[in-house]
Amino acid sequence: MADKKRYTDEEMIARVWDIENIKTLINKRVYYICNDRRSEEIADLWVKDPENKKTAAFGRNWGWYVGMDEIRRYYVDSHIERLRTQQRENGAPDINFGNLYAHPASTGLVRLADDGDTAKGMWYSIAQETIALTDGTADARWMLERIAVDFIRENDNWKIWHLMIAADLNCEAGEDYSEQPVYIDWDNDPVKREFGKPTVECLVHDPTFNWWDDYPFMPMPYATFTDDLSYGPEGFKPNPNKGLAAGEGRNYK
Amino acid sequence: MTSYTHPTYSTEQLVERWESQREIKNLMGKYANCVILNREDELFDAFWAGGENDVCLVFNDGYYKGAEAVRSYYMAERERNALVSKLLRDRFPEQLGGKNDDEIYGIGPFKVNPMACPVIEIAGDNASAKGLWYCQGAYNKVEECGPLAHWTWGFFAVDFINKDGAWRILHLQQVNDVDSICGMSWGRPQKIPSPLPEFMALADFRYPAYTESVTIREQYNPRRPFTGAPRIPEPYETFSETFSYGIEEV
Repeated sequence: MADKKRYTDEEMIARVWDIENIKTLINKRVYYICNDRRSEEIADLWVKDPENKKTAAFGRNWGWYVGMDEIRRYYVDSHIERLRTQQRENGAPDINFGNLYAHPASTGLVRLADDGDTAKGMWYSIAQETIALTDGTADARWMLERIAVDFIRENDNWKIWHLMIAADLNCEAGEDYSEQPVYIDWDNDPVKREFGKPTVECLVHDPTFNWWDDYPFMPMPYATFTDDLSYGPEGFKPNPNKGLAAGEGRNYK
Repeated sequence: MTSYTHPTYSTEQLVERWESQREIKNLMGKYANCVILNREDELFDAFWAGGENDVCLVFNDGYYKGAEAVRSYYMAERERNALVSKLLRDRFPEQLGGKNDDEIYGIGPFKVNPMACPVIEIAGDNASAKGLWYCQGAYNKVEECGPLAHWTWGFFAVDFINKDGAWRILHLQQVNDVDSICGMSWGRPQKIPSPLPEFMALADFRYPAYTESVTIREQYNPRRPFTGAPRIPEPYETFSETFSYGIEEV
């Protein structure tokens, strides 16, 4: 843990606003998701610096897409392709017709590095996605997920650098959570299928039996950013969870 | 190492703007708490900008414009709360029969509007502000079928003015995408339970007519065209330069 550093009044209020601006950045992302403006999210909220773009990462339970080109391929291009398929199958007039997205973030915890160049944050989201089906109804699905983010300052603006969204549960609205199968059928899991095949494939958070694998880990005070602190792949350490170490859970490579 | 000199505001101004933001968040927290306590009749005087301003309260299917209209809506909510309490007293005479109207006021309705994800922009002139919140709420309303719990997904989008050093609501949109019976998918047809004779008096209750009944936001259904969030506040210098969450009458 970093030593407790002392700041001037000017530094203190600047740091207070840094944290406010980081929270606002993540809150804006919530509304971009409501609007399904993924391309604009990347343009407005993610890193722009060429070096940072190379190391940017978007992770979920099963690994990371690394680099903004790969992130865009997954997060924007594949998504639009799926929406076009849905539109065709539903005979809908527009893409996203009958769809609804909400991933509100709460319980924010933000740590600003002592040097003020980076920050780390964690939120929880009780989210939902509702996808129109061919029969005129919709699959309304709860999605409970932990959101962990590395931020970096670029030209005095905060940007998302590494984003990890670790799902704990998804199930149809109206279903009993406790009736969910212990062993999730990943092949038919909509979140897993949506994530596809990432650049770095690795099981980082396994909700089977509600494992306490502590990933993504909680941000702690720190002086300056180092790779081992990252929510990208370079900061992941296989957790000591006994079940996972014993190969329990599922046949995941 | 980052430089700490702000390009626009002095240290004192940065503190003042942070305090404004905190007061605005607290204002909406107090508003939500008043609603939980069924004290809607206090909302206008406690939190709104007052009669001399162009106030506007907006829901999915219409809006109230002007002080009299906004206040009349809140007073009607109080009347309904009082009616529900009396019907519940009649329904539970052993537990509530000995209590007068004041003592039973507020039993029954339970309306929770937890506001999260604030994006707040304070005008450069510090005379106004805009805020957008996501509200994943719930309410239990006594209806003709009796108590019925709903879950909601929606937004609070609010314009504020700084009136004599205190932040007040100028325009408030409370709009939902989902307002659905708890425990049931909002993606499938829902069946509302049948009316019960002991709550039929509620069928005659009417909220005041909107200033204009108009679809501001269609509630979610699988045939709804895609509908995004209310516009996100953007930095601005003075209110006339930005958009309004109020509704202009046609």
